[in-house]
Amino acid sequence: MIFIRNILRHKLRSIMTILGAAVGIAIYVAVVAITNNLEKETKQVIDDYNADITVQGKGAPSPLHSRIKSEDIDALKAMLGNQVDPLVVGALRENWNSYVMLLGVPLSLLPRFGLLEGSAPLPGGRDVMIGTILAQELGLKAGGSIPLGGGSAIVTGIYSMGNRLVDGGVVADIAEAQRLLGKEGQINIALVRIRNKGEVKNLIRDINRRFPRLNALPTADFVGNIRLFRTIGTFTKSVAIICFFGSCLVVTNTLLMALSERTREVGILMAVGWRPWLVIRMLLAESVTLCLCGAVAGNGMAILILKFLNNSKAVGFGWIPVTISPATFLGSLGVTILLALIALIWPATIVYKLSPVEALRHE
Amino acid sequence: MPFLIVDQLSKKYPNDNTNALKGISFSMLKGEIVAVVGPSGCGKSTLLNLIEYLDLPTSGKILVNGKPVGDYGPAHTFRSKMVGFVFQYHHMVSGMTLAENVAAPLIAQGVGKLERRRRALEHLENVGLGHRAHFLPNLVSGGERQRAAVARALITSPSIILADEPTGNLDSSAGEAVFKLMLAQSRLNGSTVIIATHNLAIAAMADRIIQMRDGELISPV
Repeated sequence: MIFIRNILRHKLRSIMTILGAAVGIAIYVAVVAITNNLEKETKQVIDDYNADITVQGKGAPSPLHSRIKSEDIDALKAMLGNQVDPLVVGALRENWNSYVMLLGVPLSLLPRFGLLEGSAPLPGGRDVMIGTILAQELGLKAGGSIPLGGGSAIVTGIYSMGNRLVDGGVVADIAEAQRLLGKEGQINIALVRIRNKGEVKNLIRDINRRFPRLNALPTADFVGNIRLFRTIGTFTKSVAIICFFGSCLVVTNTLLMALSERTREVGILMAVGWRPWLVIRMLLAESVTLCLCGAVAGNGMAILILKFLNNSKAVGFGWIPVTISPATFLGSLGVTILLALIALIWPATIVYKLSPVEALRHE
Repeated sequence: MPFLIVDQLSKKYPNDNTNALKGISFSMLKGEIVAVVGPSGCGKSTLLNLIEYLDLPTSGKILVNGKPVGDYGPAHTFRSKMVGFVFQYHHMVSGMTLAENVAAPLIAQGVGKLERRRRALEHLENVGLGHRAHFLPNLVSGGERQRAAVARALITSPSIILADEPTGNLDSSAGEAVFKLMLAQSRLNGSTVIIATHNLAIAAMADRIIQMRDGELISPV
């Protein structure tokens, strides 16, 4: 394989190029994995409630920032009956972790959390349940205590929802969650279940008309409309583009150096009848090989980055995925092929313009 | 009828006041072997580059088998189908084995991998290098590289073989051996051969000698 031999001619340079491409791809893959995971798991949390309508404060960029006053909840309940479940969600800054997700749910919803051991907290108490990931990280069992909100709470049970976001957090009765988060009299979102699914559209219109401070949406559309995720998505794309062009520069530079060193050889090949495309095809094989090695190394690096973030106290347990989905991996390979092609544009232009006589004279 | 006609060929390079070639004309029969002799810088390499269609003349024309070289299609097509070139410094591609170097002109012709390999080995055997086929050029001697270059020039059975100081980088015995090999193989193919050389002993083995000086032909030696 000629292109492999060409790559191995300058091992150190090839390794540096692969690492350069790998760093860009690792950042891209890690950021995409985190963003996609956050969106997917948030959607899963909402979907688990089987709600038809989700209501949040108007203009809130995310459920974490949404504020709904108790009187609006009462009015919603009066309008819709007991089909309304308020939820409190927020993050607690603790010494042992600076981003602990706390979910406050009505007592009626507590049994929905799959208890692995212990029991649900009693109404009006200051006890909590914790997810398996958090229990594992802190080495806690049911009956133990956990430092929360400047005090400590008894862990009545340990649950598993199969969702890293929820399993890395704490669940409490809604009143206790409001107290811990300092959100007394407020909730973040309300989930509405409707018996007659045909009424969903009309009810949404009625809620939005009667409650100008609220925004009701079909639950299926809710996650896609979270402004924070759209902002994160834009940020992710920007990071991806910067990484992409950074990697492009590294690979282009390597190809230009290789071409400069081998100009006379290109002249020889043209003199024996090679058209420019054949020379470019050889460079393309080198470019694709370097980039694919970079993609594999980059995905490996991304897993290490995710594992590192997962163990970091600065990030909440369960927020970060520990694996890369096949779609993200395949996407990174697609991006890599594009990278190899774009990195080749400049060298290919040089080859097309190269005079064989000049190339043969090249020192 | 002449197979190769060089008619009033001139070449002036940009940024150079002198003419590298000044209206050169000559013709060659099919299978004829001509040595072009003259001092360095007299225009031998320029003449060969123009005949190979590596460069374009400022004026004049080259006819091969009655057709201008431009009528054979793009320059690379003419080069791959009609011409074999042996360079002064063997000019091997360092990332390719001898067999791959020899087979390189066949890639340009779209010949399949197995056929390329078979023909490359056959031509390397013909120049006594079958046992070196899978060596990289830096692992063989200068004489062996130049023999491989001869095999590369002959692999497409070209109508024209151009050799620019093919023995210039070798000692006299190795140079003579390479030259004899090239002549023998070319005669087998029936190729028309033009050799640019300083070496009069080598030139004497050709059918005819053309002498050049300052971009012009002077009377045959």
